[in-house]
Amino acid sequence: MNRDQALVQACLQQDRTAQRTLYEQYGGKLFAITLRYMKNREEAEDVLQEVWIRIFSHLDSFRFDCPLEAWLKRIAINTAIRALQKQPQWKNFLDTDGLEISTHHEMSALDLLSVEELRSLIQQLPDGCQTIFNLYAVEGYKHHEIATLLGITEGTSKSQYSRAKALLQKEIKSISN
Amino acid sequence: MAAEEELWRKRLLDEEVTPPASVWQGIEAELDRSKRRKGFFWLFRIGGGIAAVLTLVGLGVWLPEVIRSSADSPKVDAVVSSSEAKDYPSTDRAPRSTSPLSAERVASRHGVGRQYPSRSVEKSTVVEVIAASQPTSILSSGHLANPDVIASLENLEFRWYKNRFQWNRPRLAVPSFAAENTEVKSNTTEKYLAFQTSGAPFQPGVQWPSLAQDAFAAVRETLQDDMPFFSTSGNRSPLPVERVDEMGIASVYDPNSLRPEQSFESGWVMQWSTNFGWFLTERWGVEVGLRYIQGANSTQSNVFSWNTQTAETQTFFEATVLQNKVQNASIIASRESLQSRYHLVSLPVQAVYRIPLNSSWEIAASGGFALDKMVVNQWTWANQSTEQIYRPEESSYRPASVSALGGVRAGRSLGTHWQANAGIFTQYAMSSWLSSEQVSMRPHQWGGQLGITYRWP
Repeated sequence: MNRDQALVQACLQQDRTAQRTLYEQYGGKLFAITLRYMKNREEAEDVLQEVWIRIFSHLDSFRFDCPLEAWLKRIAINTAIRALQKQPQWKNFLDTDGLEISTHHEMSALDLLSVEELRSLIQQLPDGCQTIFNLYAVEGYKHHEIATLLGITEGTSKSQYSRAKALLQKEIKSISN
Repeated sequence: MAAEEELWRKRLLDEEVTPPASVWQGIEAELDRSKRRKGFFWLFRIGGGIAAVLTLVGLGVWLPEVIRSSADSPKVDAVVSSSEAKDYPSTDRAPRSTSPLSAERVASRHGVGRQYPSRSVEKSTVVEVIAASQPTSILSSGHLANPDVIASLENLEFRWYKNRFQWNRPRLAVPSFAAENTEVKSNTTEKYLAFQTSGAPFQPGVQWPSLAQDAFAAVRETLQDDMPFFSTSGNRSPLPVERVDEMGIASVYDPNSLRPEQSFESGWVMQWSTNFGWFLTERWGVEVGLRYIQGANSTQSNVFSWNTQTAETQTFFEATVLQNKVQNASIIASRESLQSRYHLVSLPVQAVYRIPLNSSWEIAASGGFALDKMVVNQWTWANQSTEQIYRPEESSYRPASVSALGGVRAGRSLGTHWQANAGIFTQYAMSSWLSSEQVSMRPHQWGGQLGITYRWP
């Protein structure tokens, strides 16, 4: 039994110390995820709390068929998306199917920006763009997977991603200049 | 993957940001709440389990009966009433082993050749015993009927109603042998499974004669050091009618409004129950069950206790009676309203007496005792979502108490097995819910109930 397995077993016994250890071990990575998906820190903290409640209440369904960290991150992403989908402005971006924006980008300036600045740039994207950009560019989802996950067409996913990249490029350029 | 996506991934995928401490505190609080909820619901799970077992047992008894009755023709065991009487002579002696009602008993109960035109069981006379499965007919004389009559009897059709077979006159094949609408009783015991819901006004029945004395004593103890203007003796409000503070501002207190108050208003209680019953005789039965009871009422209080360390505020009743926190500081302040909600499970055992009125209607009276188990008591301040929870193991609520209960209900048959019923009931706590010496709590209620009953022989 490796460390993660032992930790999960202890958490299943409602061992508060083990729960705290698990939280401290992965809380930072999950908070970074919720920060990237939500618009501000307060929302991200609320979602993070919900993420951990879901984790502790569904931990018995984790079968160790994938790394624990990947499972935790998936819950964080799904919880964040669920929270976004509850927001009234979520549906607005679904109408932009077919929106084409130039995809020629100069991203070398990325290296000049701090992680906090990059996260802030992503947070400033419109809702749908932000989620799709996170899923595609950072998490590595394919467009058809995103379409299934969000209940949108693959075309919408692609066009929103292009739009996100264009907006980011514009912002990065303005910062660089 | 394009280079720019790779760049984003590299910078952000494994990023870590330390969350603020408040997040873990929120998670921990939610985990604690969830744990409490789980603790609270185990009783309901047990209750549900018992109800399920009762249902399964009921089905287990009922299904074989249904299968048997559909496979065989009705077995008639004993005639219990008759609308008219007529003797039928026979010379054959009744074999005692072939009848559920022995010839000896029949013969001793009725005189040979006498006629009893009554409808009651004891006075029925013409056909005392009919056993279609073992064709035997014992007459009032204690003799068997002629074999040809028995053969005719076997061709008769009986209609199954509740726990009886009814013999329809138009189908009567044996002229003058048995009376019209002769009722034939099965020798099996009638059982039933009843599901009931009831609602009733609810009186918490709290008696606290020493409230004023207790509250004033606690308030004085709190305030005597730094507020010497308070009265320190007597069973009166410690607050003066008038006082002048350091700024020279005079305040007038209404002594009447400063009387300690802790009133428990009447509320409403709902009950949901599953009862299993069986009749030991034609009229008398026993009923056991499982009830979930939820009661709610409002309370008003102007005496409060607070923990000076945590600033946790409760009513004086909660702090001193329910939790025995005598070390808390006490004050008399403006009157506040709170909601109190009670959740209990109850195991009632009742005797039932029923009176059939006609083929469709019957009334039944019941009475007995119940063992009531307090599960949780919630207190909520008006207009606030926070609630204080008291369980017997952490408060002065007794783990269980006994109550007397009874009721009258009318039942209407909805077919062969189902019966709808409606009635009134009452329940009165025989012992206090509290272990406190100075405060007693004996709730009582009376109200209406509705239910549906499944019966089988």
